[in-house]
Amino acid sequence: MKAGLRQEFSVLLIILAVASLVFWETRHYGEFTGGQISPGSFPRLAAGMMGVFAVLRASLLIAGMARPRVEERLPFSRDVLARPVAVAAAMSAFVFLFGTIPFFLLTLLFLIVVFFIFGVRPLTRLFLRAGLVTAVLYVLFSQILHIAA
Amino acid sequence: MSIRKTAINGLVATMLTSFAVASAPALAQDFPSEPIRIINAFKPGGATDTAIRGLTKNSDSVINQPIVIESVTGGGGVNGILKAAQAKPDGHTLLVADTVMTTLPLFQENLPVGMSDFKPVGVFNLRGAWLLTRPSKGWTSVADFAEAAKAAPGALTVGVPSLSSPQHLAVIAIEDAYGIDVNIVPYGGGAPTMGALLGDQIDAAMPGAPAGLDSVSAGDAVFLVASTDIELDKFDGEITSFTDVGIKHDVGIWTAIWAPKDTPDDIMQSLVSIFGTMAESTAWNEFARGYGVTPIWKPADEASTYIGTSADSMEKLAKLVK
Amino acid sequence: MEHLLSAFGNVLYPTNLALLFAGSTLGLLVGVLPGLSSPMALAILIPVAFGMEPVSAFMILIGIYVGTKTGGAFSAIMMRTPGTPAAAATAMEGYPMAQRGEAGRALSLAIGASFVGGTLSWLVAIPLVGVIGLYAVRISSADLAMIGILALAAVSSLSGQDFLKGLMAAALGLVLSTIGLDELSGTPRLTMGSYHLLGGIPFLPAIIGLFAVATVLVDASDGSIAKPPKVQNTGYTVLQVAKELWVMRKILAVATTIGSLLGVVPGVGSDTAGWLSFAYVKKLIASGRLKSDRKIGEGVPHGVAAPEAANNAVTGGATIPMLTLGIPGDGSTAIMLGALMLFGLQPGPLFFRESPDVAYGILVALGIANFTTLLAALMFTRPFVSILKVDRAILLGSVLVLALVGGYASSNTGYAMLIALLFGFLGFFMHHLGYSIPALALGLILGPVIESNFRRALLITRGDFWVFLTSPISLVCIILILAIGGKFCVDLLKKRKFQRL
Repeated sequence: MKAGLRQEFSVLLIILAVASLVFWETRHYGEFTGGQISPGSFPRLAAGMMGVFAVLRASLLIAGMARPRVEERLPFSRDVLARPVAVAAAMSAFVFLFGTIPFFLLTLLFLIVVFFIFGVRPLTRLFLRAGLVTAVLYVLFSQILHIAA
Repeated sequence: MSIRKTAINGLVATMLTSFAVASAPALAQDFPSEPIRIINAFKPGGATDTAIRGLTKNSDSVINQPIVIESVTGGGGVNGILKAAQAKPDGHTLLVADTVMTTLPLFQENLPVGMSDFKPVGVFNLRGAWLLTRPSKGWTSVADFAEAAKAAPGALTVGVPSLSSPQHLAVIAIEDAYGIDVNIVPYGGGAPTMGALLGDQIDAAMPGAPAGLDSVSAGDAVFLVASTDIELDKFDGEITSFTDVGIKHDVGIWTAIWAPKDTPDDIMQSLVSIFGTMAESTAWNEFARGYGVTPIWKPADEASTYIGTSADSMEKLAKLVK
Repeated sequence: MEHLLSAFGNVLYPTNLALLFAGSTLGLLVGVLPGLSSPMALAILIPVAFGMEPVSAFMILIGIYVGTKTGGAFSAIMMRTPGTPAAAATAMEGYPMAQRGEAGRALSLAIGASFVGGTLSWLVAIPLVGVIGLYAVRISSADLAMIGILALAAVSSLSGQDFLKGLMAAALGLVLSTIGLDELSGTPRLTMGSYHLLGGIPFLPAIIGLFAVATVLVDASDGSIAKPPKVQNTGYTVLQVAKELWVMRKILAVATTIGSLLGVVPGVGSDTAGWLSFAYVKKLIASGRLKSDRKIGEGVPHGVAAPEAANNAVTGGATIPMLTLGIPGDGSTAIMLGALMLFGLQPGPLFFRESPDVAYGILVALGIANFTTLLAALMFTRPFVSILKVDRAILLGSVLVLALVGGYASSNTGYAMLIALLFGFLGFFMHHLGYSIPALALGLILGPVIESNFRRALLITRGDFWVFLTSPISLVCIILILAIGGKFCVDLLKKRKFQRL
């Protein structure tokens, strides 16, 4: 359970850091002036509450009144993370290349890569499906909706 | 080739040539060669959107390429304006925007884009902000309103669609003219502002006409004053404007079409001609009046002067805010 | 009255009916695809609608509007990625049901419940057409702010596994919603100098990222993704569905009420209605008042029916103020409002008197659309379930493209697509760490509503906080919020050790 606790506390720390960041970024704004809440108040209120909740949870964890559960952990094992990371990388590439490479080509390549990561085999089936889906999406987005080139 | 074939070819060629000649109007050669995209920096269904759609409804009688209205929202309008400014200046991408072009820089620093990145094709409609209140208040003119405000400084609430808008500046103008102080409350648009007024949550509202016209006609709201000389055909009664009551500011909300600043002159001419035809058509005029805005048409240079004057008066009012 | 009857005759005229059906089908399709939304479809179709008579044009628009509310459930159930944000709650129990081979049952329930919710709320709204408008405007800013906070608190406490974690997620959503130009003061907040962020976090791409993209990422770790999926039992008759729904009638009634009421409140709408109804079902099961052989998360049918009934019930509530006051309740009604004005019609108090054929026509169409959507949906159930025979891998890959491009389409900027991606990553982490994604999503959606109304309320009273206690609706909300918080503390004290917080 130690690893779970460590993870929980790290996350809570990150949350506190985010809350502090919000407070820092909103330091410019004036204070409450007769009816007018300053623009910084609400973000601070929300961030403050977030921080309070984090502290509360941390205290409950320390007091043993709460335990991190097994399924609420980020599994850092290679098996579990390999595919999501690969998919994430493919998506990032898609986003950055969108617009520079023609839609049809980009989508086709993307689908081929993603299907491969997901384990679609044999390869002929993979290419066929990728081509089919690309065609459908192309018709939908390029011709009907005029969204992508 | 047989004689018949030659004759037919010749006939077809003649027909095609005469078609080509006949269909070459005052437009620059081959313009537009693809659909014209007009970017609206605000959400669909709003005043600017309705206006431009109304204007371009019958565009197929003027040009043979479709006109597509594209909504690019965000950043208080900056997103759409920026996208239009960065488009290829070949006349196929335009911007439709109203007085927000003049008010945005007044309240925002470090904007990546502005009016100087565009050339106006033309101003095509005019509307104003108008001050409305509930019948239960018993006010019949803006003077009554001012009197009540003087008696209770800072207490009367006036709703506006948003801060830093022409409507907001119009309220500032009233405050300045009568030396009063009211509590200005922004709502997210003309409709919610009217809703708040009808729900008696505010004492008065200054939306952009014709928002609230139906309530006035139904007797649920009372008209006090308009920020500029507007004509509202459906309104039963006289429109008193700022100038009529002696308020020296004039706040008009105009809508214009803009092209990126590097658009070549001949394309600009074609655009002016195209949109001018649409703006002067009976269809548009009828639509505009029926909807409650005043159709006008000020092309190119005339537009620049008009917009410039408007920008100056907005700036003067903006200084009174802070 | 005669107007109403003649409007019926008008709408039921074959060509109009066909248009309504076409709209419903299109709406279903738009609802199914995660990247497309109702406002988007409506905006695209306005030019097409122009060539027709107003009544006919609105057949299509209303058809789409109602259709999308039902369509979203299809992808929610089959792929756990809601086609529209409103159906996100449906995925919670719908997807587990599909996993057990009950996709047909889940879909039928969703379709049936949508029909019931939409039709019931319409039937109740019709006689109240004049009245609803009058009451809608009396909801003050203070009330709106409190309703928003209550919704957030309720969803945090009941959906998601741990209350404090849910609250943290909700709070984060609120913080994220403040990024951008502050409406009330015109100053940029938390934008770190980037003008992209000046517009804030665009809502639709963020939702797409949190629900669609994140789901795919989470499932990517699942080794069985490329294997053939579980065989689906598709033999589900209309009678069976009707019987099941009848058994659930009390829950459906509550869900419909929630949806209708929330539809009237501007800005809150169908997304919240779905989640609140789901939370209600969850609470019933937890407290034992609803007997079910399954636990929450294992495929409780009520968890599919309630949200679907609620999000369809919203249509009645949202359209009436649009017609009678010209105040739109959500994005779709806002566009329909614009369309009305383009036709030269002015919605408002005089609308029904001056253009009765159009006004009543729209009203009637809203009701009939439930039927056409039901029909269209039933026709599509079989083919959709058969799509499940396709590898999940292929489905998910397609969903990714749909999600990313759909994110782009929402505002035609690459920035939107990036948001979808980033929120996808965020969703992935939140899922694994046990933080409630719905709470974050609602925080993001409701943040602007809560904040602007909160500040507006104080602006009007010039700083007097008492307004939150003097306005009746607001007071009720505060009491309920305290009740939720109180119950949590009580539970905490009851069990000292091994407490789920």
